[in-house]
Amino acid sequence: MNSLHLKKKYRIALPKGALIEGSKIALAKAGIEFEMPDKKLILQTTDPNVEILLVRQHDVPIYVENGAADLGIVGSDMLQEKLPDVLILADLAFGQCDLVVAAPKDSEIKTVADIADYSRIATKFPHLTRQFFRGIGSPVEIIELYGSIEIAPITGLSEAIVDLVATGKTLRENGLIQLEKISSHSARLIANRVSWQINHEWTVEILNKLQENLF
Amino acid sequence: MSSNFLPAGARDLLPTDLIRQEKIRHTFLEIFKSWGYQPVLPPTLESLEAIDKGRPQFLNECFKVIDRDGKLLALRPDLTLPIARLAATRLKTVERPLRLCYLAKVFRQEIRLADEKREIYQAGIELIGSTSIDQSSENQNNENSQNLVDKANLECLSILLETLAKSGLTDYQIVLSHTDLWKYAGEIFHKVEEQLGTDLSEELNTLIEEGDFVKYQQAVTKAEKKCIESLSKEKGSSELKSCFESKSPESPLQYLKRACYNLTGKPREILDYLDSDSNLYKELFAIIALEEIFGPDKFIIDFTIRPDPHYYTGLYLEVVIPASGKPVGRGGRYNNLTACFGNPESAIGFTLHVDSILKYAVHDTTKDPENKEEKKVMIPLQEDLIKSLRESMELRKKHPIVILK
Repeated sequence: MNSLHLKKKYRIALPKGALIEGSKIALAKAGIEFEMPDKKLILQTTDPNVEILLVRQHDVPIYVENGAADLGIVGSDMLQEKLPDVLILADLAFGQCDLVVAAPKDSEIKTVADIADYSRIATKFPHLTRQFFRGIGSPVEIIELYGSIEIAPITGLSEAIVDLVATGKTLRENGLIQLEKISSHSARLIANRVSWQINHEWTVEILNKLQENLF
Repeated sequence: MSSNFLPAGARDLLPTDLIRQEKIRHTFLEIFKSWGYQPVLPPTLESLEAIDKGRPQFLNECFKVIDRDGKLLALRPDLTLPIARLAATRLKTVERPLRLCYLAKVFRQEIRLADEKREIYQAGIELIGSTSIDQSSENQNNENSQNLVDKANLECLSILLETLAKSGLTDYQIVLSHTDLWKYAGEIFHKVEEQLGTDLSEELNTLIEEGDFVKYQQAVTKAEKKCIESLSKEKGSSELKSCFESKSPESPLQYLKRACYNLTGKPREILDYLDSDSNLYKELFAIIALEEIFGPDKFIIDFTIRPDPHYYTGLYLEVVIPASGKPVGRGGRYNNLTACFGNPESAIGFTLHVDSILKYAVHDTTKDPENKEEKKVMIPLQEDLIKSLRESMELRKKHPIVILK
């Protein structure tokens, strides 16, 4: 490697929100620790060669696919929804949750079969939702939202929702019940394809440390 | 008023862009010519039928145009394909090998990225008919045919490395892969595969290609369970049994599980996995020797890239630079392509994305003659226009730029 290359810092994109604590613990195993002061988006770490990018979960695969970050941690739900061209290196086994279909407890809908044709389904995952309902041959109208999916059925925006559920608490609090599980998800370590080639030794070292307790 | 006149992915090239493009075009062409390659330029419109025959994957990506008689045409999505057509038809009787090069635009619409550029300026070479592809003679004279393959590989890669060295890029590497990987990928790999049945090999292949190592490992684990079950039923050899049940990192299954991580790396490390008597090993080893001429760390081997087996028939390469997350060039061997147009022969080549290279190349604009103010001469127009024009023409013999005021 020439000198220009060595000066470059490795970048890891992490998602703000639900997966950040698990990501911190996982990276600490690889000797990468960092503080998260308010509003700071690029963080230095205890490893002088590594910096952290704090971005929205949606954007993690985008940073990695385009090479702005070498590695990223993101939920497998996001990868299946967005289908980015990245390498999925490892299941980090935290951030476990299910993608489920849910409807108001007091509605007529007790199973997915009860969902009438052309019902509206609110979700953050239009691709996976479409795939699921096409798979069971049920024509539905998909309404894409960016957050607070649970209030869609309460306000009459939709008849049912498709969303991630970790404990089921949010569903219960909003008077919803799970009808069916679509798929299970957890955090994945992803890599840019070119970075995996060029920085292979470094990446495998991180990977090994992260996986020590998994295999 | 709306000003959305520029279509998605379209770009106007301004004078400074064109000056840089022209300069790199000149550099590349001179290198290609110095190796005996002659430029060709196929038509912008190609029949959709030819694309369907040669590389059906392009059907979705290419722009379609309807001819007067209703026949479907396409803006050429690629230059290798029309050049293969040319080689198999009009240039069929020209002496082999054919050494052809091109610097031209191709037109594509990426399905996933609507705003990605649609006109891609490519520079590349094609070496056609340099080796025999007759199967019977290959078997008789294996040594000699491998030697010819090596010769073509080294010529192609030397031109690529020289072109990159003069492109203004400061840091670049060539990633190598090969269609023969799964036939040769090491003794253990092979043994495990045999035990697990051929179905798995195809599944693992696809998962590696998709880059999903998690699903890959899940597939190995699933197969492992199945094997242990069937082994305990059949009371298979204890050696085999222990090989599947062992959890040590050296056991074949643990090895297979981690294989996805070990398929990428420095050439010498990867070559270690291969049987040194195999053609694949010899072919790659011959290429790596180019580092003696062009400097160290020029090559990476990455067997996680699976070259499209319907198109590539051997070596596959991508040019990568650390600054870009995506390859800026690719190439390889495609011995089946000219056969689609009626004349089977060997072919190898590469193509570079000129715009991507220009984006990352170091370029000193102050050195462009067009930017040097002192080189510009302005002459005022006199009453006698003919006299002024004549004067300006005289001045142009000495000065590069003479402008009428």
